[in-house]
Amino acid sequence: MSSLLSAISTGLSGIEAGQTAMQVIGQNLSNASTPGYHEQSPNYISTTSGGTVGTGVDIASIARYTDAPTETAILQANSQQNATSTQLGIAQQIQTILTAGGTSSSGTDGTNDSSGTNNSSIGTTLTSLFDQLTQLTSSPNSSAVASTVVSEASALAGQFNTAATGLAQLQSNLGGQISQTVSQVNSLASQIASLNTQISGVEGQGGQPNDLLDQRDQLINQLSQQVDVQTVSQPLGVVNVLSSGGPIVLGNIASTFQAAEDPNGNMAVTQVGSNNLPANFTGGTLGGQLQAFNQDIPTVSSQLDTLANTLSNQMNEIQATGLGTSGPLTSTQGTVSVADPTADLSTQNLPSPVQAGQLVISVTNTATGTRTNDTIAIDPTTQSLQDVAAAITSGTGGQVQASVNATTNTLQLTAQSGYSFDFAGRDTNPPSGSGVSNPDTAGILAGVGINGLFSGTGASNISVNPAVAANPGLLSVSQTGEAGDSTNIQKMAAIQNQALIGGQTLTAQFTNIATAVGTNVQQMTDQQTSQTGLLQNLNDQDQSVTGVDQNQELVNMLSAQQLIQATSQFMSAVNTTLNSLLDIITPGT
Amino acid sequence: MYFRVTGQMQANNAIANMQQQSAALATVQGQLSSGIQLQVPSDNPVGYTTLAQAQTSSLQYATYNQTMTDATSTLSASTNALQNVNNILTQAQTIATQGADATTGAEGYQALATEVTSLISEMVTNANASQNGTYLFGGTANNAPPFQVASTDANGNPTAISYSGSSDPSQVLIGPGQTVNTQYAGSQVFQQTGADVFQALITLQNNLTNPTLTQSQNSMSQALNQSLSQISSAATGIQNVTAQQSSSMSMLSSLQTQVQNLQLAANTQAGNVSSTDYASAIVQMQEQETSLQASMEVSSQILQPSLLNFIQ
Repeated sequence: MSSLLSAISTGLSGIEAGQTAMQVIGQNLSNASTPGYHEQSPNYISTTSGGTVGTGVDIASIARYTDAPTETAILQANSQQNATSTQLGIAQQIQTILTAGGTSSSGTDGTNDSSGTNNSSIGTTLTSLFDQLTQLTSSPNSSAVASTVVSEASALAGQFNTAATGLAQLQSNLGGQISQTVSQVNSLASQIASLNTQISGVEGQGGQPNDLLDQRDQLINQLSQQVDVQTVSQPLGVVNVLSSGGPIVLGNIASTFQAAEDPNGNMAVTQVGSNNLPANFTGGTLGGQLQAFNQDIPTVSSQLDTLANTLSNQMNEIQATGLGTSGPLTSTQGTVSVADPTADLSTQNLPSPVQAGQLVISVTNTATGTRTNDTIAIDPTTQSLQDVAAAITSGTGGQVQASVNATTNTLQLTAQSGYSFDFAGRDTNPPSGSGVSNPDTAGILAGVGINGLFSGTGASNISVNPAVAANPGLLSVSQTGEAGDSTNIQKMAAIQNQALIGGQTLTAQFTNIATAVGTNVQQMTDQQTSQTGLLQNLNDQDQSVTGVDQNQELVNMLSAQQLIQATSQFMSAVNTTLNSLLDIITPGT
Repeated sequence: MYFRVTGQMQANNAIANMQQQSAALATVQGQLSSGIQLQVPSDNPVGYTTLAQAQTSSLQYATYNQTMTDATSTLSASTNALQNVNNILTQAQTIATQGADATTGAEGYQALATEVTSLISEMVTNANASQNGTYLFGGTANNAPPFQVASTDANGNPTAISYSGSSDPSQVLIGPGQTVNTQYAGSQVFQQTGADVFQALITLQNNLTNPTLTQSQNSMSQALNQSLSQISSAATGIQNVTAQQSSSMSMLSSLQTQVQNLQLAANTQAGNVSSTDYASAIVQMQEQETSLQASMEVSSQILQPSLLNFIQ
C-alpha cells in the first residue's frame, strides 16, 4: 500500500516537474529575441528517501547558461568600438568644417566643379588671393584690381572665421554630450548597485535570481559602451565594476561622476566626493569624447590659428613697409590691443614677435616735398607701448605724434598738419644715400598692427584691417610711390612660395591639415569596420552558448508535454489500481 | 563554426550583412552619379594631396598666363612706338644729307631747320606714347608724360628736353620670383650716353640755324656730317632697345606655351585623381548589386523554416 501511495507522490512530482519545465520553456521562448537574455534550463534530479526505489523527480535548480570569457571580451570590444565610433564621428565633422568652404569673392561657390573637390576651401581662397596679387603687378595703380585683392583677403578671413567658429561650436556641443554621457554612467551605476543588493538578498536566501542577473548583465553591457569596464565577481552574486577612471560600482555603492572644464579649457571628469578625485576615463564613448574634446579638436584649431597668424604677420610687415596709391599716411591706428600699455612689450603676448631693432620713419613735408628719415630704437624687453609712443614722438621731433589710445590700448600715430609719414625706407629728399632695404628690423609694425593688411589674433577673429577695407588705396603696392612700381606687391606674392610652417608653404600646410584629418578618418573607418566584425563574432559566440534556439526549445516542450502526459496517465493508472484494491476491502452494499 | 545557431544570431547576421552590402553599393552609386570619386580627403588622402597641389598649380599657371599676355601687349605697343621713332630718325638723316649737299642755300637751311623742329616735337610725342592711359617710357612713373621741353630759344624752338620719369622700369610678375620689364625708363631709351636722340635732333636743328654755319657751306657740311653720325648712333641705340624688347616678347611667347602646357597637365592630373573611373565603377556596382541580392535571398531562406512548420 505504502508503495502505491508513494507512487502517487512520485507521479505528482513528475507533473510538477513537467509544469515547472514548461514554465522555463515558456520563459525561454518568450524571450528568444530579448537582448541580453540568457537561456535557462531545468536541472532534473531524481529524489530518494533512502529506500530501494526513489521518490520521484525534482528540479534542483534552474541553470542559467553563461560564457564568461566571451562576455568579458564583449565588454572590452564594446568600449573599443564605441570609442572609435565616437572619435570617427567627430573627425568626420572636423573634415567637413575644413573642406566644405563658404563663398569666395572670385565668384566660385561651395559646389564641386568638374575637377573634383569643393571649390573654395581656405586652401583655394589662399591661392586665389596670391593670384590676384600677381595679377595686380600688371597694373599696380588700378583701384579696381586693388579692391578685388582686398575683397579676396576679406573672403579668406571670413573662411578662417567660419572654420574656427565651426570647430568651437563642435567642441561646445561635445561638452554638452560629455555631460549627458556622464549622467548616463551615473544612472547605470546606481541601477547596477541596486541590482547587486537585490541579487545578494535572493542568493543569500538560497534563491536563483536568473532574471535579475540578466538585467544586471545587460546594464553592465550598456555601461561598457559608455566607458571601459572590468568586472570582478564577489560572493553572493555581487559584481564590482571597475574602470580606467576608478571604481564605478563596489557592492551596493555606486560612484557618481561629474564633468567640468578646468582652467586650461580641458574637459575633466571627477568623482563626486570630498576630494573630487580625477577620473580619467580612456575607453568607451566617454573616453572617445574626452579625447576628441581635449586633443582632436584643439589640435586642428591651433593649426588653423598658426596658419592664420603666419599669413597675417608676414603680409602685415610687407604691407606696413610699403606705399599705397594714396601715398604716405597722415594718421593711422594700430589694430593690436595690449593688456597693459605700461608693461614691457615682451610680456604682452603680441601676435607677431617683436625683437630688439630699429624702425625708420620717413616724414615728408607735404608742401615742399622734402623728406627726412628718423631712426627709432626699439627693444621690447625694456620698452612698453607707452615708451614706444614716446620714442616715436621725440624721434620725429614731434612731426609725428604717437600716443596710446586709452580705451583700446592701441598705438595711434598722427602727423602734424602739413606733414605725412611712411615706413617704406626711401632715401631722403634731397637724396643722401640713406635709403634702407629693411626699415623695420624690430618687427614692431606687425607687432602692434600699424598699417597692416590683416588684424586679429587667430583664425577666429582674423579680418582685414578696417582702414584698408574702407580704402583699398592703402594697399601698399610700391616701395617708391611711383604709379607703375609693383615691387611691394611682388614681395607679398612671393609669400606663397616661402616655406613658413614646418618647411611647408601656407597652401601646402592647409592641405596637410586637411589630409591629416582625412587620413585619420580613413584609418578609424577601417578600424571601426574590423571592430564591428569582431564584435559580431563575439556576439555570435556568446549567442551560441547563451542564446535561445527556438527549435531546441520546441523539442524540449514536446518532451515536457509528454512527461506531464505520461505521469498523468501513470497517476490515473495508480488511481484505478487503488480503487480496485479498495473495492476488495469495501464491497458495495 | 558554432555548435548552436540561435534565431537571434541568424537575424543579427542577416541584418549586418545586408547593411554592409547596401552601404558599399551606395558608395559606388554615389561615385557614378556625381562623376567624382574624391569628394573629401578621407576618400583618398594621398590623392587629395595630389589634387590640392594640382589645383593650386593650375590656378597659378592661369594667372601667370594672363600677366604674360598683359606684358606682351605693353611691349608690343612699346616696339611700335620705337618703330615710329626710327622712322623719324631716318627722316632726320635725309634732312641732314640734304643740308650737307652743296646746292642747298641759306633759305634751304631755314626750311630744313623748320622741318627738324617739327620732327623734335613728333619725337617728344612718341617718347610720351601711352597705352590705356599708361605711359610706356616713364619707367615706374607711368601716370604722367615723362618727357617735356625744358627750354626754348628766342624763337620758341626747343633747346633741351628733360625727363621727369623714374629710372626704374615697371615690372610684371610672370612666374615665381620672375619678372619682365614692361615700361622702360625713358632716360635709358632716348637719352643713352653717346646716343641721345633728342640731343642729336636739337643739335641738327641748331646747326641749321647757326648764323656762323649758314654763311659757310663747308662748315655747314662738316657740322651736318657730324650730326649724321650722331643721329646714326642714336638710331643704333633705339634699335638695341627694340631688339631687347622683341627678345623679351619672344621669351614670353615660348614661356606662355610652356605654362599653358603645364596648366593642361595639372588639370589632367587633377581630373585623373578626382574623377570617377566609370568602367571600373560600373563593374564594381554590378558586383555589389549581385552580392546584395544574394545576401537578401539567403536571409529570406534561412529565417523561414523552423520546427513550428512541422509540429502538428
